[in-house]
Amino acid sequence: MSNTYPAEIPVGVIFSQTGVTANPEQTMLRATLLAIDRINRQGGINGQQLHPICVDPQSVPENYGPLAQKLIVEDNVKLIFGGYTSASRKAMLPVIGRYDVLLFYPTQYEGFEYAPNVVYTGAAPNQGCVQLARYMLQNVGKRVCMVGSDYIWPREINRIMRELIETSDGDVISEMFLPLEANKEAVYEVAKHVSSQHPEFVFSNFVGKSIEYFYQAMLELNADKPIPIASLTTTETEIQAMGIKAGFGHYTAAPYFQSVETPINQEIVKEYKATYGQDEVTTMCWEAAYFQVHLAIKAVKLAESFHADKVMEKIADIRHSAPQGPVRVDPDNNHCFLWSRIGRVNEQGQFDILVTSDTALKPDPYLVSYSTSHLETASGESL
Amino acid sequence: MSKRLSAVQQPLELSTLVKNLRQHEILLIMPEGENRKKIEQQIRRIGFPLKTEWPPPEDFSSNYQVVMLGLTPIIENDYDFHWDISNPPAALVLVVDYENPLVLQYSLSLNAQAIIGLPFHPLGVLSNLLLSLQEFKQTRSMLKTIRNLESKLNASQHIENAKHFISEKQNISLEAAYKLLRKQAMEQRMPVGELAKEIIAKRSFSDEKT
Repeated sequence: MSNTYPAEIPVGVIFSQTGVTANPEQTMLRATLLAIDRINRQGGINGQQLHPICVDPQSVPENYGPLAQKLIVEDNVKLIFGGYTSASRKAMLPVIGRYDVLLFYPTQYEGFEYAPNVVYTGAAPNQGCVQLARYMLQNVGKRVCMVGSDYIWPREINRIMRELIETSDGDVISEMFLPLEANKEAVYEVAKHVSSQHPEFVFSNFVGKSIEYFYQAMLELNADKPIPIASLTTTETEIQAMGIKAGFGHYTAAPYFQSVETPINQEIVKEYKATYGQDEVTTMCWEAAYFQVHLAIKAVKLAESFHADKVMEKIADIRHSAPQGPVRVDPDNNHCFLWSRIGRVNEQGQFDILVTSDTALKPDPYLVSYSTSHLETASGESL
Repeated sequence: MSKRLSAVQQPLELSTLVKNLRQHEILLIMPEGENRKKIEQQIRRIGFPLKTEWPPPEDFSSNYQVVMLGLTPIIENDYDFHWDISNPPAALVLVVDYENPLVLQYSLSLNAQAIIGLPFHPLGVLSNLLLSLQEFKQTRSMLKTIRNLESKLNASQHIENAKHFISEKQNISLEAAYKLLRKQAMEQRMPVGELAKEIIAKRSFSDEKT
Protein backbone atom coordinates (compact mmCIF):
# COMPACT_ATOMS: atom_id res chain seq x y z
CA MET A 1 0.00 0.00 0.00
CA SER A 2 2.99 2.27 -0.34
CA ASN A 3 1.46 3.71 -3.52
CA THR A 4 -1.70 5.03 -1.92
CA TYR A 5 -0.48 8.57 -2.43
CA PRO A 6 1.50 8.53 -5.62
CA ALA A 7 3.67 11.55 -6.14
CA GLU A 8 2.37 11.99 -9.66
CA ILE A 9 -1.04 11.69 -11.25
CA PRO A 10 -0.85 10.24 -14.76
CA VAL A 11 -3.03 11.91 -17.42
CA GLY A 12 -3.30 10.73 -21.02
CA VAL A 13 -2.56 13.01 -23.96
CA ILE A 14 -3.39 11.68 -27.40
CA PHE A 15 -2.49 13.87 -30.35
CA SER A 16 -0.81 12.86 -33.60
CA GLN A 17 2.75 14.02 -33.97
CA THR A 18 3.09 12.51 -37.44
CA GLY A 19 0.80 12.05 -40.45
CA VAL A 20 -1.73 14.29 -42.27
CA THR A 21 -3.28 15.98 -39.24
CA ALA A 22 -0.01 16.28 -37.30
CA ASN A 23 0.18 20.04 -37.81
CA PRO A 24 -2.90 21.10 -35.81
CA GLU A 25 -2.50 18.18 -33.40
CA GLN A 26 1.06 19.20 -32.52
CA THR A 27 -0.25 22.66 -31.70
CA MET A 28 -2.88 21.08 -29.46
CA LEU A 29 -0.27 18.88 -27.82
CA ARG A 30 1.87 21.91 -26.97
CA ALA A 31 -1.16 23.76 -25.58
CA THR A 32 -2.03 20.76 -23.41
CA LEU A 33 1.51 20.47 -22.08
CA LEU A 34 1.66 24.20 -21.40
CA ALA A 35 -1.55 23.99 -19.37
CA ILE A 36 -0.32 20.96 -17.43
CA ASP A 37 2.95 22.72 -16.73
CA ARG A 38 1.12 25.80 -15.44
CA ILE A 39 -1.11 23.71 -13.20
CA ASN A 40 1.92 21.87 -11.82
CA ARG A 41 3.70 25.13 -11.08
CA GLN A 42 0.63 26.19 -9.13
CA GLY A 43 0.78 23.06 -7.01
CA GLY A 44 -0.90 20.44 -9.20
CA ILE A 45 -3.81 18.73 -7.51
CA ASN A 46 -3.36 19.17 -3.76
CA GLY A 47 0.39 19.06 -4.13
CA GLN A 48 0.47 16.11 -6.49
CA GLN A 49 1.94 16.83 -9.89
CA LEU A 50 0.20 15.89 -13.12
CA HIS A 51 2.29 13.58 -15.22
CA PRO A 52 1.36 13.77 -18.93
CA ILE A 53 1.73 10.51 -20.84
CA CYS A 54 1.75 11.37 -24.52
CA VAL A 55 1.07 8.88 -27.30
CA ASP A 56 1.22 9.39 -31.07
CA PRO A 57 -1.65 7.85 -33.08
CA GLN A 58 0.08 8.97 -36.33
CA SER A 59 -3.11 10.50 -37.77
CA VAL A 60 -4.65 7.04 -38.18
CA PRO A 61 -8.16 6.95 -36.65
CA GLU A 62 -7.92 3.21 -35.90
CA ASN A 63 -4.92 3.86 -33.64
CA TYR A 64 -6.77 6.10 -31.21
CA GLY A 65 -8.89 3.34 -29.64
CA PRO A 66 -6.07 0.93 -28.76
CA LEU A 67 -3.86 3.81 -27.59
CA ALA A 68 -6.59 5.16 -25.34
CA GLN A 69 -6.96 1.65 -23.93
CA LYS A 70 -3.20 1.41 -23.34
CA LEU A 71 -3.23 4.75 -21.53
CA ILE A 72 -6.01 3.59 -19.24
CA VAL A 73 -4.98 -0.01 -18.64
CA GLU A 74 -1.19 0.18 -18.63
CA ASP A 75 -0.50 3.76 -17.62
CA ASN A 76 -3.47 4.07 -15.31
CA VAL A 77 -4.38 7.57 -16.52
CA LYS A 78 -7.31 9.28 -14.85
CA LEU A 79 -8.26 11.61 -17.69
CA ILE A 80 -7.58 11.77 -21.42
CA PHE A 81 -7.06 14.93 -23.44
CA GLY A 82 -7.06 14.62 -27.18
CA GLY A 83 -8.55 13.63 -30.49
CA TYR A 84 -8.86 15.74 -33.59
CA THR A 85 -11.00 14.29 -36.38
CA SER A 86 -14.47 12.95 -35.63
CA ALA A 87 -13.21 9.52 -36.67
CA SER A 88 -10.52 9.68 -33.98
CA ARG A 89 -13.09 10.64 -31.35
CA LYS A 90 -15.51 7.90 -32.43
CA ALA A 91 -12.67 5.37 -32.15
CA MET A 92 -12.08 6.29 -28.50
CA LEU A 93 -15.75 6.29 -27.40
CA PRO A 94 -16.17 2.56 -26.65
CA VAL A 95 -12.89 2.44 -24.73
CA ILE A 96 -13.52 5.43 -22.48
CA GLY A 97 -17.06 4.19 -21.95
CA ARG A 98 -15.93 0.73 -20.94
CA TYR A 99 -13.39 2.02 -18.40
CA ASP A 100 -15.48 5.03 -17.40
CA VAL A 101 -12.70 7.54 -18.00
CA LEU A 102 -13.39 11.12 -19.12
CA LEU A 103 -12.22 12.38 -22.50
CA PHE A 104 -11.77 16.09 -23.18
CA TYR A 105 -12.07 16.72 -26.90
CA PRO A 106 -10.94 20.14 -28.13
CA THR A 107 -11.97 20.27 -31.80
CA GLN A 108 -14.96 21.87 -33.48
CA TYR A 109 -17.02 19.16 -35.12
CA GLU A 110 -20.34 18.67 -36.91
CA GLY A 111 -22.48 17.92 -33.83
CA PHE A 112 -25.07 15.14 -33.41
CA GLU A 113 -23.29 13.36 -30.66
CA TYR A 114 -23.59 13.02 -26.94
CA ALA A 115 -21.44 10.61 -24.98
CA PRO A 116 -21.68 10.82 -21.20
CA ASN A 117 -17.88 10.48 -20.86
CA VAL A 118 -16.89 13.20 -23.30
CA VAL A 119 -16.56 16.93 -22.71
CA TYR A 120 -16.65 18.76 -26.02
CA THR A 121 -14.72 22.02 -25.85
CA GLY A 122 -14.63 22.98 -29.54
CA ALA A 123 -17.48 24.76 -31.31
CA ALA A 124 -20.72 23.15 -32.43
CA PRO A 125 -22.08 24.41 -35.79
CA ASN A 126 -24.51 26.79 -34.11
CA GLN A 127 -21.57 28.59 -32.49
CA GLY A 128 -19.82 29.87 -35.60
CA CYS A 129 -21.34 28.78 -38.87
CA VAL A 130 -24.53 30.81 -38.40
CA GLN A 131 -22.64 33.94 -37.39
CA LEU A 132 -20.27 33.65 -40.34
CA ALA A 133 -23.15 33.23 -42.79
CA ARG A 134 -24.92 36.24 -41.32
CA TYR A 135 -21.84 38.44 -41.55
CA MET A 136 -20.92 37.45 -45.09
CA LEU A 137 -24.47 37.73 -46.45
CA GLN A 138 -25.03 41.12 -44.86
CA ASN A 139 -21.65 42.65 -45.57
CA VAL A 140 -19.97 40.90 -48.46
CA GLY A 141 -22.40 39.38 -50.93
CA LYS A 142 -24.99 36.76 -51.74
CA ARG A 143 -23.60 34.86 -54.75
CA VAL A 144 -21.50 32.11 -53.27
CA CYS A 145 -19.28 29.24 -54.37
CA MET A 146 -18.69 26.48 -51.83
CA VAL A 147 -15.61 24.25 -51.74
CA GLY A 148 -14.38 21.71 -49.24
CA SER A 149 -12.57 18.51 -48.40
CA ASP A 150 -14.71 15.46 -48.90
CA TYR A 151 -15.66 14.01 -45.54
CA ILE A 152 -18.40 14.32 -43.00
CA TRP A 153 -17.51 17.68 -41.42
CA PRO A 154 -17.27 19.80 -44.60
CA ARG A 155 -20.33 18.09 -46.07
CA GLU A 156 -22.45 18.79 -43.01
CA ILE A 157 -21.17 22.35 -42.61
CA ASN A 158 -21.75 23.05 -46.30
CA ARG A 159 -25.27 21.70 -45.95
CA ILE A 160 -25.96 24.16 -43.12
CA MET A 161 -24.28 27.02 -44.98
CA ARG A 162 -26.31 26.31 -48.12
CA GLU A 163 -29.51 26.36 -46.12
CA LEU A 164 -28.59 29.68 -44.53
CA ILE A 165 -27.64 31.21 -47.86
CA GLU A 166 -30.73 30.00 -49.66
CA THR A 167 -33.13 31.14 -46.94
CA SER A 168 -31.56 34.62 -47.14
CA ASP A 169 -32.17 35.04 -50.87
CA GLY A 170 -28.57 34.14 -51.54
CA ASP A 171 -27.45 31.92 -54.37
CA VAL A 172 -25.06 28.97 -54.19
CA ILE A 173 -23.50 28.98 -57.65
CA SER A 174 -21.53 25.78 -57.22
CA GLU A 175 -20.34 23.30 -54.64
CA MET A 176 -17.19 21.24 -55.04
CA PHE A 177 -15.45 18.69 -52.85
CA LEU A 178 -11.98 17.19 -53.18
CA PRO A 179 -10.46 14.27 -51.31
CA LEU A 180 -8.67 15.25 -48.11
CA GLU A 181 -5.31 14.31 -49.68
CA ALA A 182 -5.93 16.30 -52.89
CA ASN A 183 -2.75 17.57 -54.53
CA LYS A 184 -1.89 21.12 -55.47
CA GLU A 185 -2.98 20.68 -59.11
CA ALA A 186 -6.43 19.38 -58.19
CA VAL A 187 -7.00 22.28 -55.79
CA TYR A 188 -5.76 24.73 -58.46
CA GLU A 189 -8.36 23.38 -60.90
CA VAL A 190 -11.10 24.02 -58.36
CA ALA A 191 -9.78 27.55 -57.73
CA LYS A 192 -9.82 28.16 -61.48
CA HIS A 193 -13.38 26.94 -61.81
CA VAL A 194 -14.50 29.04 -58.84
CA SER A 195 -12.75 32.15 -60.18
CA SER A 196 -14.43 31.77 -63.56
CA GLN A 197 -17.82 31.94 -61.86
CA HIS A 198 -17.12 35.35 -60.25
CA PRO A 199 -18.79 34.71 -56.89
CA GLU A 200 -19.13 37.52 -54.35
CA PHE A 201 -17.44 35.24 -51.86
CA VAL A 202 -16.24 31.65 -51.51
CA PHE A 203 -17.07 29.50 -48.54
CA SER A 204 -14.09 27.21 -48.01
CA ASN A 205 -14.27 24.08 -45.94
CA PHE A 206 -10.95 22.73 -47.03
CA VAL A 207 -8.99 21.02 -44.30
CA GLY A 208 -5.26 20.27 -44.12
CA LYS A 209 -2.85 21.11 -46.93
CA SER A 210 -5.67 21.96 -49.37
CA ILE A 211 -6.26 25.20 -47.44
CA GLU A 212 -2.93 26.77 -48.33
CA TYR A 213 -3.08 25.44 -51.90
CA PHE A 214 -6.50 26.99 -52.38
CA TYR A 215 -5.75 30.43 -50.94
CA GLN A 216 -2.47 30.60 -52.89
CA ALA A 217 -4.22 29.65 -56.12
CA MET A 218 -7.00 32.19 -55.50
CA LEU A 219 -4.37 34.90 -54.98
CA GLU A 220 -2.59 33.96 -58.19
CA LEU A 221 -5.80 33.76 -60.24
CA ASN A 222 -7.48 36.91 -58.90
CA ALA A 223 -4.58 39.25 -58.10
CA ASP A 224 -6.38 42.25 -59.66
CA LYS A 225 -9.72 41.67 -58.00
CA PRO A 226 -9.48 39.39 -54.98
CA ILE A 227 -12.50 37.20 -54.19
CA PRO A 228 -13.14 37.07 -50.42
CA ILE A 229 -12.95 33.64 -48.82
CA ALA A 230 -14.86 32.74 -45.65
CA SER A 231 -13.94 29.73 -43.56
CA LEU A 232 -14.36 27.95 -40.25
CA THR A 233 -11.12 26.02 -40.60
CA THR A 234 -8.49 28.53 -41.72
CA THR A 235 -6.55 29.53 -38.62
CA GLU A 236 -3.37 31.47 -37.84
CA THR A 237 -1.38 28.29 -38.55
CA GLU A 238 -2.69 27.99 -42.09
CA ILE A 239 -2.17 31.71 -42.75
CA GLN A 240 1.44 31.29 -41.66
CA ALA A 241 1.83 28.26 -43.97
CA MET A 242 0.25 29.91 -47.03
CA GLY A 243 1.95 33.28 -46.55
CA ILE A 244 0.32 36.47 -45.35
CA LYS A 245 -0.26 37.72 -48.91
CA ALA A 246 -2.42 34.72 -49.74
CA GLY A 247 -4.38 35.02 -46.52
CA PHE A 248 -4.77 38.78 -46.46
CA GLY A 249 -8.34 40.09 -46.35
CA HIS A 250 -10.04 36.72 -45.91
CA TYR A 251 -12.53 35.84 -43.17
CA THR A 252 -12.67 33.14 -40.49
CA ALA A 253 -15.19 32.50 -37.74
CA ALA A 254 -13.87 31.02 -34.50
CA PRO A 255 -14.37 31.26 -30.73
CA TYR A 256 -10.77 32.42 -30.42
CA PHE A 257 -8.07 34.23 -32.37
CA GLN A 258 -4.55 34.94 -31.17
CA SER A 259 -5.48 38.61 -31.35
CA VAL A 260 -8.22 38.36 -28.70
CA GLU A 261 -7.50 41.12 -26.21
CA THR A 262 -8.33 39.49 -22.90
CA PRO A 263 -5.52 39.93 -20.34
CA ILE A 264 -5.44 36.15 -19.85
CA ASN A 265 -4.84 35.65 -23.54
CA GLN A 266 -2.14 38.27 -23.83
CA GLU A 267 -0.29 36.77 -20.93
CA ILE A 268 -0.53 33.16 -22.08
CA VAL A 269 0.41 33.95 -25.68
CA LYS A 270 3.51 35.68 -24.37
CA GLU A 271 4.41 32.69 -22.24
CA TYR A 272 3.73 30.27 -25.10
CA LYS A 273 5.99 32.16 -27.47
CA ALA A 274 8.69 32.39 -24.83
CA THR A 275 8.54 28.62 -24.37
CA TYR A 276 8.07 27.40 -27.94
CA GLY A 277 9.50 30.22 -30.05
CA GLN A 278 8.47 33.68 -31.21
CA ASP A 279 7.28 32.30 -34.56
CA GLU A 280 4.68 30.08 -32.93
CA VAL A 281 1.05 31.16 -33.36
CA THR A 282 -1.96 30.26 -31.27
CA THR A 283 -5.25 29.13 -32.82
CA MET A 284 -8.79 28.09 -31.91
CA CYS A 285 -7.61 24.46 -31.60
CA TRP A 286 -4.73 25.53 -29.41
CA GLU A 287 -6.97 27.56 -27.15
CA ALA A 288 -9.56 24.80 -26.64
CA ALA A 289 -6.79 22.30 -25.92
CA TYR A 290 -5.34 24.77 -23.42
CA PHE A 291 -8.45 25.78 -21.52
CA GLN A 292 -9.95 22.29 -21.33
CA VAL A 293 -7.06 21.08 -19.15
CA HIS A 294 -7.75 23.86 -16.65
CA LEU A 295 -11.46 23.13 -16.78
CA ALA A 296 -10.89 19.41 -16.18
CA ILE A 297 -8.55 19.92 -13.25
CA LYS A 298 -10.83 22.50 -11.63
CA ALA A 299 -13.68 20.00 -11.86
CA VAL A 300 -11.54 17.20 -10.42
CA LYS A 301 -10.58 19.41 -7.49
CA LEU A 302 -14.19 20.39 -6.88
CA ALA A 303 -15.37 16.78 -7.11
CA GLU A 304 -12.40 15.55 -5.07
CA SER A 305 -12.43 12.59 -7.41
CA PHE A 306 -11.46 11.43 -10.91
CA HIS A 307 -14.62 9.36 -11.15
CA ALA A 308 -16.39 10.38 -14.36
CA ASP A 309 -19.86 10.77 -12.83
CA LYS A 310 -18.57 12.82 -9.93
CA VAL A 311 -16.49 15.11 -12.12
CA MET A 312 -19.40 15.63 -14.51
CA GLU A 313 -21.68 16.46 -11.60
CA LYS A 314 -19.44 19.39 -10.67
CA ILE A 315 -18.12 20.55 -13.99
CA ALA A 316 -21.15 22.64 -14.97
CA ASP A 317 -20.68 24.73 -11.82
CA ILE A 318 -17.34 26.02 -13.06
CA ARG A 319 -17.11 29.40 -14.75
CA HIS A 320 -13.68 29.24 -16.26
CA SER A 321 -11.86 32.28 -17.59
CA ALA A 322 -10.42 30.97 -20.86
CA PRO A 323 -8.28 33.04 -23.22
CA GLN A 324 -11.42 33.54 -25.39
CA GLY A 325 -13.40 34.79 -22.35
CA PRO A 326 -15.49 33.07 -19.66
CA VAL A 327 -16.69 29.61 -20.69
CA ARG A 328 -18.60 26.79 -19.04
CA VAL A 329 -19.93 23.32 -19.77
CA ASP A 330 -23.60 22.98 -20.63
CA PRO A 331 -24.85 20.05 -18.52
CA ASP A 332 -27.63 19.40 -21.05
CA ASN A 333 -25.18 18.12 -23.64
CA ASN A 334 -21.56 18.24 -22.33
CA HIS A 335 -20.62 20.81 -24.96
CA CYS A 336 -19.35 24.28 -23.99
CA PHE A 337 -20.79 27.76 -23.97
CA LEU A 338 -18.32 29.48 -26.32
CA TRP A 339 -17.76 32.91 -27.77
CA SER A 340 -18.34 33.55 -31.43
CA ARG A 341 -16.06 35.84 -33.38
CA ILE A 342 -15.49 36.85 -36.99
CA GLY A 343 -11.94 37.77 -37.89
CA ARG A 344 -10.31 39.14 -41.03
CA VAL A 345 -6.65 38.57 -41.85
CA ASN A 346 -4.53 41.71 -41.56
CA GLU A 347 -1.06 42.60 -42.81
CA GLN A 348 0.61 40.84 -39.89
CA GLY A 349 -1.14 37.55 -40.70
CA GLN A 350 -3.25 37.96 -37.60
CA PHE A 351 -7.00 38.40 -37.44
CA ASP A 352 -8.64 41.77 -36.97
CA ILE A 353 -11.73 40.90 -34.98
CA LEU A 354 -14.79 42.38 -36.70
CA VAL A 355 -17.55 40.87 -34.58
CA THR A 356 -17.67 39.35 -31.10
CA SER A 357 -20.82 37.85 -29.65
CA ASP A 358 -22.35 39.67 -26.67
CA THR A 359 -21.92 36.58 -24.57
CA ALA A 360 -20.78 32.97 -24.79
CA LEU A 361 -23.30 31.07 -26.93
CA LYS A 362 -25.19 28.02 -25.73
CA PRO A 363 -24.19 24.92 -27.70
CA ASP A 364 -26.95 23.17 -29.63
CA PRO A 365 -25.26 20.10 -31.12
CA TYR A 366 -28.52 18.58 -32.38
CA LEU A 367 -29.74 21.62 -34.30
CA VAL A 368 -30.78 20.34 -37.74
CA SER A 369 -32.54 23.11 -39.49
CA TYR A 370 -31.03 26.55 -39.75
CA SER A 371 -32.91 29.47 -41.16
CA THR A 372 -32.82 33.23 -41.27
CA SER A 373 -34.57 33.26 -37.92
CA HIS A 374 -31.36 31.82 -36.53
CA LEU A 375 -29.52 34.61 -38.30
CA GLU A 376 -31.56 37.14 -36.39
CA THR A 377 -31.82 35.47 -33.04
CA ALA A 378 -28.54 33.59 -32.80
CA SER A 379 -27.80 35.11 -29.48
CA GLY A 380 -26.67 33.25 -26.44
CA GLU A 381 -28.04 32.39 -23.10
CA SER A 382 -25.94 34.33 -20.68
CA LEU A 383 -23.31 32.76 -18.53
CA MET B 1 -11.49 15.88 -61.87
CA SER B 2 -14.47 17.13 -63.87
CA LYS B 3 -16.09 13.80 -63.17
CA ARG B 4 -15.72 14.41 -59.45
CA LEU B 5 -17.12 17.92 -59.76
CA SER B 6 -20.23 16.91 -61.66
CA ALA B 7 -20.97 14.16 -59.18
CA VAL B 8 -21.40 16.64 -56.36
CA GLN B 9 -23.21 19.49 -58.09
CA GLN B 10 -26.56 18.35 -56.76
CA PRO B 11 -26.92 19.02 -53.02
CA LEU B 12 -28.49 16.33 -50.94
CA GLU B 13 -32.08 17.29 -50.18
CA LEU B 14 -32.91 16.93 -46.49
CA SER B 15 -36.08 15.00 -45.92
CA THR B 16 -38.83 17.06 -44.32
CA LEU B 17 -38.75 14.58 -41.44
CA VAL B 18 -35.18 15.56 -40.63
CA LYS B 19 -35.74 19.21 -41.38
CA ASN B 20 -38.72 19.51 -39.06
CA LEU B 21 -37.21 17.25 -36.44
CA ARG B 22 -38.19 19.40 -33.49
CA GLN B 23 -41.85 19.61 -34.45
CA HIS B 24 -42.49 15.97 -33.63
CA GLU B 25 -44.03 15.45 -30.22
CA ILE B 26 -43.13 12.39 -28.26
CA LEU B 27 -44.89 10.60 -25.43
CA LEU B 28 -42.64 8.47 -23.24
CA ILE B 29 -44.47 5.86 -21.17
CA MET B 30 -42.15 4.43 -18.54
CA PRO B 31 -42.02 4.33 -14.77
CA GLU B 32 -39.66 6.85 -13.19
CA GLY B 33 -36.08 5.74 -12.81
CA GLU B 34 -32.58 5.98 -14.16
CA ASN B 35 -33.47 4.56 -17.59
CA ARG B 36 -36.35 6.94 -18.11
CA LYS B 37 -34.19 9.85 -16.99
CA LYS B 38 -31.49 9.01 -19.52
CA ILE B 39 -33.93 8.55 -22.39
CA GLU B 40 -35.72 11.77 -21.43
CA GLN B 41 -32.45 13.72 -21.38
CA GLN B 42 -31.40 12.43 -24.78
CA ILE B 43 -34.79 13.27 -26.34
CA ARG B 44 -34.66 16.78 -24.90
CA ARG B 45 -31.05 17.15 -26.03
CA ILE B 46 -32.12 16.36 -29.57
CA GLY B 47 -34.86 18.93 -29.08
CA PHE B 48 -38.10 16.97 -29.41
CA PRO B 49 -41.09 18.22 -27.39
CA LEU B 50 -41.62 15.48 -24.82
CA LYS B 51 -44.21 14.36 -22.29
CA THR B 52 -43.80 11.47 -19.90
CA GLU B 53 -46.53 9.32 -18.39
CA TRP B 54 -46.90 6.34 -16.13
CA PRO B 55 -49.00 4.21 -15.95
CA PRO B 56 -50.03 4.04 -19.62
CA PRO B 57 -52.98 6.32 -20.48
CA GLU B 58 -56.37 4.92 -21.49
CA ASP B 59 -56.50 7.07 -24.61
CA PHE B 60 -53.86 8.57 -26.79
CA SER B 61 -54.32 12.12 -27.87
CA SER B 62 -53.47 12.57 -31.49
CA ASN B 63 -50.94 15.28 -30.65
CA TYR B 64 -48.16 12.78 -30.37
CA GLN B 65 -46.34 11.56 -33.41
CA VAL B 66 -44.36 8.95 -31.52
CA VAL B 67 -45.19 6.90 -28.46
CA MET B 68 -42.22 5.31 -26.69
CA LEU B 69 -43.15 2.50 -24.39
CA GLY B 70 -41.10 0.73 -21.76
CA LEU B 71 -42.18 -2.83 -22.48
CA THR B 72 -40.86 -4.78 -19.50
CA PRO B 73 -42.78 -2.80 -16.86
CA ILE B 74 -45.95 -3.35 -18.90
CA ILE B 75 -45.40 -7.10 -19.03
CA GLU B 76 -44.22 -7.44 -15.44
CA ASN B 77 -47.03 -5.40 -13.92
CA ASP B 78 -49.66 -6.74 -16.26
CA TYR B 79 -50.77 -3.28 -17.32
CA ASP B 80 -53.31 -2.83 -20.06
CA PHE B 81 -51.87 -1.05 -22.99
CA HIS B 82 -54.66 -0.04 -25.36
CA TRP B 83 -53.09 0.15 -28.74
CA ASP B 84 -55.19 -0.19 -31.86
CA ILE B 85 -52.80 -1.85 -34.25
CA SER B 86 -55.23 -1.65 -37.18
CA ASN B 87 -55.34 2.12 -36.81
CA PRO B 88 -52.50 3.21 -34.51
CA PRO B 89 -52.60 6.84 -33.32
CA ALA B 90 -48.82 7.30 -33.58
CA ALA B 91 -45.57 5.56 -34.36
CA LEU B 92 -44.62 3.10 -31.65
CA VAL B 93 -41.08 2.64 -30.34
CA LEU B 94 -40.50 0.03 -27.69
CA VAL B 95 -37.81 0.24 -25.03
CA VAL B 96 -36.73 -3.26 -24.11
CA ASP B 97 -34.14 -4.80 -21.83
CA TYR B 98 -34.63 -8.42 -22.89
CA GLU B 99 -34.86 -10.21 -26.20
CA ASN B 100 -36.59 -13.36 -25.01
CA PRO B 101 -39.54 -14.89 -26.90
CA LEU B 102 -42.09 -13.30 -24.57
CA VAL B 103 -40.75 -9.81 -25.24
CA LEU B 104 -40.46 -10.54 -28.95
CA GLN B 105 -44.04 -11.80 -29.01
CA TYR B 106 -45.26 -8.55 -27.41
CA SER B 107 -43.18 -6.44 -29.78
CA LEU B 108 -44.60 -8.20 -32.81
CA SER B 109 -48.17 -8.15 -31.57
CA LEU B 110 -47.97 -4.39 -30.95
CA ASN B 111 -46.58 -3.95 -34.45
CA ALA B 112 -43.85 -1.60 -33.20
CA GLN B 113 -41.87 0.39 -35.77
CA ALA B 114 -38.60 0.41 -33.85
CA ILE B 115 -36.95 -0.93 -30.72
CA ILE B 116 -34.44 0.72 -28.42
CA GLY B 117 -32.39 -1.56 -26.21
CA LEU B 118 -31.32 -1.09 -22.61
CA PRO B 119 -28.84 -0.38 -21.05
CA PHE B 120 -29.32 3.00 -22.60
CA HIS B 121 -26.99 4.30 -25.29
CA PRO B 122 -27.48 7.78 -26.79
CA LEU B 123 -26.49 6.79 -30.32
CA GLY B 124 -29.48 5.32 -32.12
CA VAL B 125 -32.30 7.14 -30.34
CA LEU B 126 -32.59 9.82 -33.00
CA SER B 127 -32.30 7.32 -35.86
CA ASN B 128 -34.89 4.99 -34.37
CA LEU B 129 -37.34 7.79 -33.74
CA LEU B 130 -37.02 9.02 -37.32
CA LEU B 131 -37.22 5.55 -38.82
CA SER B 132 -40.35 4.80 -36.82
CA LEU B 133 -41.93 8.09 -37.88
CA GLN B 134 -41.14 7.47 -41.52
CA GLU B 135 -42.42 3.92 -41.36
CA PHE B 136 -45.59 5.07 -39.59
CA LYS B 137 -46.27 7.85 -42.07
CA GLN B 138 -45.62 5.59 -45.04
CA THR B 139 -47.85 2.85 -43.70
CA ARG B 140 -50.61 5.32 -43.01
CA SER B 141 -50.42 6.83 -46.44
CA MET B 142 -50.29 3.36 -48.00
CA LEU B 143 -53.39 2.35 -46.07
CA LYS B 144 -55.12 5.46 -47.33
CA THR B 145 -54.13 4.63 -50.89
CA ILE B 146 -55.35 1.07 -50.48
CA ARG B 147 -58.72 2.30 -49.17
CA ASN B 148 -59.04 4.68 -52.10
CA LEU B 149 -58.16 1.96 -54.56
CA GLU B 150 -60.63 -0.42 -52.95
CA SER B 151 -63.43 2.07 -53.23
CA LYS B 152 -62.47 2.85 -56.82
CA LEU B 153 -62.43 -0.84 -57.64
CA ASN B 154 -65.86 -1.27 -56.04
CA ALA B 155 -67.20 1.72 -57.95
CA SER B 156 -65.91 0.40 -61.23
CA GLN B 157 -67.59 -2.95 -60.56
CA HIS B 158 -70.88 -1.19 -59.85
CA ILE B 159 -70.52 0.87 -63.00
CA GLU B 160 -69.82 -2.23 -65.06
CA ASN B 161 -72.92 -3.96 -63.67
CA ALA B 162 -75.09 -0.89 -64.14
CA LYS B 163 -73.89 -0.45 -67.73
CA HIS B 164 -74.99 -3.97 -68.58
CA PHE B 165 -78.29 -3.50 -66.79
CA ILE B 166 -79.10 -0.25 -68.65
CA SER B 167 -77.87 -1.53 -71.98
CA GLU B 168 -80.16 -4.58 -71.73
CA LYS B 169 -83.12 -2.65 -70.43
CA GLN B 170 -82.93 0.09 -73.06
CA ASN B 171 -81.49 -2.03 -75.80
CA ILE B 172 -78.54 0.30 -76.40
CA SER B 173 -74.80 -0.25 -76.67
CA LEU B 174 -72.63 -0.47 -73.53
CA GLU B 175 -70.95 2.75 -74.53
CA ALA B 176 -74.26 4.56 -74.86
CA ALA B 177 -75.37 3.07 -71.53
CA TYR B 178 -72.30 4.47 -69.84
CA LYS B 179 -72.83 7.91 -71.36
CA LEU B 180 -76.38 7.87 -70.10
CA LEU B 181 -75.29 6.82 -66.65
CA ARG B 182 -72.62 9.48 -66.48
CA LYS B 183 -75.02 12.19 -67.69
CA GLN B 184 -77.55 11.32 -65.04
CA ALA B 185 -74.90 11.20 -62.33
CA MET B 186 -73.77 14.67 -63.32
CA GLU B 187 -77.32 15.99 -63.26
CA GLN B 188 -77.88 14.51 -59.82
CA ARG B 189 -74.45 15.67 -58.68
CA MET B 190 -73.39 12.32 -57.39
CA PRO B 191 -70.43 10.07 -58.19
CA VAL B 192 -71.07 7.70 -61.08
CA GLY B 193 -70.13 4.76 -58.87
CA GLU B 194 -72.71 5.74 -56.25
CA LEU B 195 -75.50 6.07 -58.77
CA ALA B 196 -74.49 2.76 -60.34
CA LYS B 197 -74.68 1.12 -56.93
CA GLU B 198 -78.16 2.52 -56.37
CA ILE B 199 -79.39 1.36 -59.76
CA ILE B 200 -78.16 -2.16 -59.15
CA ALA B 201 -79.65 -2.19 -55.67
CA LYS B 202 -83.07 -0.98 -56.89
CA ARG B 203 -82.84 -2.84 -60.20
CA SER B 204 -84.48 0.18 -61.82
CA PHE B 205 -83.35 2.85 -64.19
CA SER B 206 -85.49 5.52 -65.75
CA ASP B 207 -84.35 7.84 -68.44
CA GLU B 208 -86.63 10.83 -68.71
CA LYS B 209 -85.90 11.12 -72.40
CA THR B 210 -87.17 7.66 -73.31
